[in-house]
Amino acid sequence: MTTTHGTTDPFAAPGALTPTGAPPIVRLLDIEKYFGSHHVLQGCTLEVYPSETICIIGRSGSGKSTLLRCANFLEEPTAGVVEIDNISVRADPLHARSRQHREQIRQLRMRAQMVFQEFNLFPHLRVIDNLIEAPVRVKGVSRDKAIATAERYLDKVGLREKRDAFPGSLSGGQKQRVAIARALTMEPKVLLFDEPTSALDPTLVGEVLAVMEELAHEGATMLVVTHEMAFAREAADRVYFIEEGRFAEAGPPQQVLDAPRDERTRRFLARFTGAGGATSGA
Amino acid sequence: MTDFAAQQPGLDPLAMPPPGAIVEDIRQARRRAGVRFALAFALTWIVLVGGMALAIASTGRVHPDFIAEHLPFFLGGIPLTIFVSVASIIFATGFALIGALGRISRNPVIYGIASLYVSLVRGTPLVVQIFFIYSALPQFGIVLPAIVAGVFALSFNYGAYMTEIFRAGIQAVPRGQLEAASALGMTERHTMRRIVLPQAVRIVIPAIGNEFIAMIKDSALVSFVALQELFWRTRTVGAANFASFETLLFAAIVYWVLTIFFSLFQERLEKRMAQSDRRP
Amino acid sequence: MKRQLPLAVALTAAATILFGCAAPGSSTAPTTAGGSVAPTQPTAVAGGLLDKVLKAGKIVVSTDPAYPPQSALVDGVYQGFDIDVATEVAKRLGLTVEWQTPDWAAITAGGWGGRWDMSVGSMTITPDRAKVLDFSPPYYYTPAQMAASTHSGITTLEGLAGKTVCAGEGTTYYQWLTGTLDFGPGGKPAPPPAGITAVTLPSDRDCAVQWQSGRFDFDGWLTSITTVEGAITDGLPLVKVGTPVYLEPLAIAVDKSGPNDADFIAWLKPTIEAMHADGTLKAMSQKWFKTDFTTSTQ
Repeated sequence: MTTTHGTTDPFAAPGALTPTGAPPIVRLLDIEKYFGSHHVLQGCTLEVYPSETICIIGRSGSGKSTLLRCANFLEEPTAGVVEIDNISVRADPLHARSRQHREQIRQLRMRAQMVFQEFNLFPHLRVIDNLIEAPVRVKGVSRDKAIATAERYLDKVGLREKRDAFPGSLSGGQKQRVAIARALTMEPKVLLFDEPTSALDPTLVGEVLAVMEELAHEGATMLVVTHEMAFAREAADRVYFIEEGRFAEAGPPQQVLDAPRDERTRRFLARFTGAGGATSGA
Repeated sequence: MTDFAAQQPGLDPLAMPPPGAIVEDIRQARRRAGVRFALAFALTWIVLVGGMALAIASTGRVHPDFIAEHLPFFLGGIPLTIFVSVASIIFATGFALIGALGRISRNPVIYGIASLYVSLVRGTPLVVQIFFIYSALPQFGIVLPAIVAGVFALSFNYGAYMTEIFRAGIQAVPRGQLEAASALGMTERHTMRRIVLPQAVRIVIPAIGNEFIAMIKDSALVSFVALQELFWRTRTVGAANFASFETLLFAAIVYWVLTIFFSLFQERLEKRMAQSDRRP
Repeated sequence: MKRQLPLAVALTAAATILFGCAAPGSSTAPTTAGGSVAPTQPTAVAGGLLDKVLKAGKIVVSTDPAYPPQSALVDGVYQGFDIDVATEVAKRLGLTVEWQTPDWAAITAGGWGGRWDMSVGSMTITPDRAKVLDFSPPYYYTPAQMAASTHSGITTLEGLAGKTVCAGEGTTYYQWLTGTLDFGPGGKPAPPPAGITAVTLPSDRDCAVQWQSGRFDFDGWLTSITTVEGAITDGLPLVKVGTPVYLEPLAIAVDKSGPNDADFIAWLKPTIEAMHADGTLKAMSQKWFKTDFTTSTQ
């Protein structure tokens, strides 16, 4: 296995559902990020094998969301390399707006679809149009084919009957399920989840997690920033605990969540055990 | 409620009206209050407007016969007033859209052009702009017909004010929308056209309505360039007959009625749009 | 009627600076044999103003129908002294007239852009206007008449010394009150009474309307005798004061920056002289003013 810097993720190992011999499909290598003089990410390296689910946990402000946003260049990293499905983009903050760089990033984003905390559905478009806008106009899929794909994923998230609804008429849980379907309709190589249940009413969290668990068990590749420890325990191949811009601890959920070795991980998890084992950290 | 009442000596649940009846009572009380408000509002207007009318009539300067004699001529100016206003607001919207895109452009030349446009037009009187477009452009060999010059001047002027409205509207589209679009791989142009502008337009439509109502009144300034609209007609007849007082008063009333009419229209449009945002 | 808005002057000046001094059509009117009574045959020069209107079969004339009896719009028909003069001029060219009603300031500023071909609007010939417009010989002369409100009790011109007098914005009347009126080759009129303060309102006629409304910020009003008499006829509370203070030479104007007007002026000059000589103008003056304003010695 060769990598750009000779860097590798020491915790990476093929997951339970990874096809034999497949190389990592996502590599975040030595990601550094400054906001002004604030050093938010201090060299994060993370590799994901196909069909793995990886959860990133940590306190707010620890850099976990920033790392995820660096993975598809919603934030331009200050340094580092992102590789997804053989598309490799090196951080280039000085030429972030160059045509060539932006095109590379676009290619990367088509392969790594993000699900946001705030859903970010397009309120002026019906559900079906939210789903097919990018496949048709970005990927160039024919409209009929995009609609067929979109309807398949609406079925998967259980919202086929909301096909022609406007987002404004949906509950938060339904919106997030539509957002997941929108990401899936792009048929990406990896799904990025940025605290997908944090903005939800507690009674609506379950329906979203159920969809995510189903995806994980079906072999989707997922990188999930979350406070849902139960979900991490149930669905993750590996859990990464991030503290002050560095991975403090990583490994299988049984190890990181139930027998943490790092003192900081223990302290972080103590907040959840009081509430009878991890539900919502919000 | 029943439990609470049962615990209170002297509050006999059986003596209280059934909950359904209370709901009905509340509804009726609200309706009565609404009707009272509407009546008092109407009465206030009748008293104030009537008072003003009486005060004006008491001057002895109102000659209904004189106005009646010229009424068809005056009212014949309304179609042109409305045409100029409608055409100008449409073109102003176009100028504003282009101006707003320029004002958010990262290209310094485009940003510079848009900023100069806004600064220059907002910093000079509309009447000078109308005169300039009508009388000074011909020096460059550009002779616009009067109606085109008038509409162009009004829309160019309003476009500059509306540029800032549009820019604010574009910037009011939540950041998450831009992130979602770019995360889906959309280009900036695609994002602007398909995601941002449709939402921005909804945000600015009430403001466009306000601008249109202001436009109806400012359209009086095209009387300057030989367009015989409502204001030109009243002013000319008034000056010719030593009756500026009557004719300007009449013009004011007609403009007022027009703006009331279009304000109601605008309110309905806003309500409908608010509903469509909630449609299932 | 004889307004020349400061705005127009400023814009003209700006235009002169911006667009260079010499307007393309600027020319001096050619001299013709004076006193000719015989009808003058038009001699059009290709590209000239006369050529343009003859080819169009019509002549576009600017007018402001807020000024009866010179110009008014009655039941959709333009009528008045200026209207008759313009129609007669067109008739002598075998043309029909089309009317335009631009703001007075747009007319006196020049730079018409061909929107109309000539102004028959009782325009006073002044050196400033002559920079951007070419003039015909005067077709009539209105006396400038001072009036006073009945409220003031003033009945003589001397009585207005030290008082405030109203005139239309940018009119030649305002210029006279401030001592700046100059007819160029036509000379300078007599000075105003001593110590007069001049104020302006947007239109000449607004001054008299103020008296009617009960405002007496000023005691005097200077405008044309026809306007004063019209106001008195309409029952406004004012009286004529003294004899006319001066005569204004009023002429047809064409735009220097338009098509070369040498051919038009060369035809117009003897034509106006002919209209004086054959009594046409006198008859029109009698019809609209009930008096003869067509001579410079009244």
